[in-house]
Amino acid sequence: MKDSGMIENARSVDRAATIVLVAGMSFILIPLAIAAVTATQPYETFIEAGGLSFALGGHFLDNMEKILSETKLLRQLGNSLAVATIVAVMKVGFCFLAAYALVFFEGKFRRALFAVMIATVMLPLDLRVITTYQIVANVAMPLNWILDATGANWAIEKVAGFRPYFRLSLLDTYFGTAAPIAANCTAVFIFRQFFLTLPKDLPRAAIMDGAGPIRFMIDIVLPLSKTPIVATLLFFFVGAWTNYLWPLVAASTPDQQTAVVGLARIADSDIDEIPQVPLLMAGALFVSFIPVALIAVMQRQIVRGLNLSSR
Amino acid sequence: MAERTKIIIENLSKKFGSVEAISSLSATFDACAFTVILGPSGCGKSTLLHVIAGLETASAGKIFFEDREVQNLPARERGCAMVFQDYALYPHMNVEDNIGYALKLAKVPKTERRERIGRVAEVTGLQSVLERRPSQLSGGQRQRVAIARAIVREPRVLLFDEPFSNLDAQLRHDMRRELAELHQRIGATSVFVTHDQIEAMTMADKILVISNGRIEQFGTPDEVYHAPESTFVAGFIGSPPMNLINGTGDGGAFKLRDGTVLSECGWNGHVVLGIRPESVRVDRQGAVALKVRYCEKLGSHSIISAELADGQPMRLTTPLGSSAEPSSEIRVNFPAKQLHWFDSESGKVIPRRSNGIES
Amino acid sequence: MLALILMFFYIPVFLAFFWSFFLERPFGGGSEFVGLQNFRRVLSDQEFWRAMWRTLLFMVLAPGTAIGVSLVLALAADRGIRLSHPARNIIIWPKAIAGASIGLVFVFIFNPHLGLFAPLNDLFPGLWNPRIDGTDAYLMLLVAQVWNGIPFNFIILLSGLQSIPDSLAKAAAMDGAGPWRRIIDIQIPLLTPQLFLTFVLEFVGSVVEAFGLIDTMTEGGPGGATTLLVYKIYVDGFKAYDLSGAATQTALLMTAVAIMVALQFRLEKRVKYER
Repeated sequence: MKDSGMIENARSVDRAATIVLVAGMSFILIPLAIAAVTATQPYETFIEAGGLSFALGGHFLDNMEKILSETKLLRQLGNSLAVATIVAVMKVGFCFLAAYALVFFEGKFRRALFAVMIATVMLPLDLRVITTYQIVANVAMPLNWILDATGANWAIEKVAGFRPYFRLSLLDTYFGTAAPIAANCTAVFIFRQFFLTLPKDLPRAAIMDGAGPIRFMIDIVLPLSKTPIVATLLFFFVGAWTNYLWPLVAASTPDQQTAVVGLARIADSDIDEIPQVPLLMAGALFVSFIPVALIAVMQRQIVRGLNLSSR
Repeated sequence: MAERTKIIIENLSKKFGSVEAISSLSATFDACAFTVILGPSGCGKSTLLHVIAGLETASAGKIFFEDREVQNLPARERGCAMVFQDYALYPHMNVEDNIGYALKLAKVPKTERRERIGRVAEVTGLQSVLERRPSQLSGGQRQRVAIARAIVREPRVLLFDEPFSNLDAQLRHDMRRELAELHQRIGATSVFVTHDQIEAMTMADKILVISNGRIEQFGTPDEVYHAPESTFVAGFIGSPPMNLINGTGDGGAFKLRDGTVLSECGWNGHVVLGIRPESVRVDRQGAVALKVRYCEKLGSHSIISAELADGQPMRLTTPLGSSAEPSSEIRVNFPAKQLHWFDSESGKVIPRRSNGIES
Repeated sequence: MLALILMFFYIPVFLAFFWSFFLERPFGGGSEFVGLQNFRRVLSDQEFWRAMWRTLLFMVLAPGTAIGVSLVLALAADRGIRLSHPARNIIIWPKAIAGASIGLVFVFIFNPHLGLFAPLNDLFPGLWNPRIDGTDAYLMLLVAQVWNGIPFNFIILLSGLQSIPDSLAKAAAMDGAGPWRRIIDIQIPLLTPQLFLTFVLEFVGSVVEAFGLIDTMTEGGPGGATTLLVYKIYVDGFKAYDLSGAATQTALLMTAVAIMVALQFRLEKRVKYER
């Protein structure tokens, strides 16, 4: 932390900074506080008060109990956990290996590989949701094209008398939900940046000590990368958890939906009457608790590990 | 005592794209000798070391360790160890693990490993810090760990890539002495790359001076200092380096552009005269007049920067106490036996007709 | 994994462009090459252009506000006062909350009858009603988007500020620059790379991230006032089963985003300071 007091006495600046931070934190916290307070009120008091009120209602546990018994949010929380974990592990694992290859090996395809990865950062999944859905709905589609284009289908039709059409849907599976989110190489840049800060003689020293590329990765690079690995794992876990559009279309049954989608579906169900606001607020807290706790506890590690300053 | 291994390099070339870092270089480094590769930055000396180590592949040519051809072997099969400029210690391992990593990879049993680490730690004075991480060590200690890591494997060849360049002057001095003693004890064939001529002069059995990927001279420190084979070597070695004066040999005399005669000369045409600053004799009756520009008093001696009659700069060192005022004139002699003559085109030394070197 | 990237990134991108030249029938009913007809249809559709303009306006307003607010917060947090520590933690919490979740909270807060402004509406009926007034709805969306967008920008800008060497601040102080001047003369210029990064990321982000908010807060209404392109594509593709139309709009949107990102990168090269 910088000690600006060293330079000069800047009371006015510090006072302004304090006001700014108080305002900023209020802006962030007030919606959460309102959600939290409302989540403690029973539906009846909420109606009587005519909506938003700042009185604690003492019914938080009742509302939570309703969430657990009357909705599928608990199961959907499990889905979120599974999908977010798969996404984080796939993304970090691949990006770590890719960045390792990019930084420590010379190769003809290095530039091409890099370009292939940059493109994935530019066009987010939500932008190509229509066609990604079609692919996940039938991952065999490219195979059908190939068979069509090469004339293999034509030949099979001649011989067997029917035209094969392969169909394999990954909709409503964890993998089908997770894989498209994971098909993104942002972390390659983070790891690449980190590897470039390692001493340039380190790989040479390892070679002289008799370590091959795999040994060097496992014994030296992996332990040194603990901070960025933990940070990116958490970051992508949270990112996948809060994803909405893709999980919304990739899973159609409530049993397979993620918690965030499930919560939004509960809100959808009763449009005409005054909504069960306290219950919804409790639900919002319920589905947000795990990622917020992770971010709050691991804030330092995440910021340090992503090393965003030097990009 | 390590196996005796001499290193033979034959017509070695290394290209990076179209840039030739080393061009057709041949040399033999004697077994158990301490050879220093000396040159300015960017001359290809580190590349040469990396090629010997197997960290870079040679573009052409051969390298032998004794009679084994090694230029196509991967680094780990060559039996070299290396000490790096920035130490390249593994930051997440303690000193003991850093030193023992190569042994662990070589599947040396744990008890033997501990014993060898202990022995090396004793030699390098690291026993008390074996549990520490590199970040908890001083610069000198890190340097010792890097050396310990290299010698623990009892390598046939020890390579050093400017290992002292991050140390301060006093530490560098101490490490030079320690490393020289260590070399006496372990006796591995050692190759040491540096741009620091003092390191080269004090530690080397033989110095290989290179510039632009070519050998300028390969000889003992004495030869390199007292009988430089080119103007490059003459101007690179010595502090301050040898004075190199352009002039013309004409009728047995060496003349400057304005006709001033500096000394006798056995050649005709353009030629370069070299003389070490400490060889110039200040003498009231001297034949050559110099105009003093500046005088640095260093205590043990003074360095006078001066100008010849035609404006060419030259420097001379004078013993303790003697100095000169700026803008004053002093007279000096150039002792004939201390003169070196170089071809002004090629920069190569013109061999003496007299027999050998006098000092 | 490369296969996954091919499968779930490159093939969908390619497919969007491919389908934009075909009339694709839903439920695998076959396809027919129609040339530029899809583009003609989409580009002559008033709804498309309205959604496009709303998206563009959103792409300017949301990143601008979010980055402006984050910059002020980051400058304040960089002062190293007592509040900096909790602020650094709390301000990034929204990163962990899905737009679709906080959307529910905001829709309640801004509810004209139950929310924060309900008393105001009692005094001046009809002053605030995002369910009827398109501008109110757009504003509500913007506030929620800014709330959700602050953390990431804040992290990037704050780490940027903290990587500026202390000696520079001291040198500027010796040159007579007070803390306010230093913000303008030293900190913001040296923060240019981070500011660019946040703009690039926010630009792309604001196109798509608003989806969760729109779907839970307004469903594109009232009267289409909050129908951004990403929401329109979703409705066209998944509700109206107009695959060709949705694919064509996807192709257009992807092209627009790619061009803008490329332009920003081009611009960034010019303003980078070597340190």
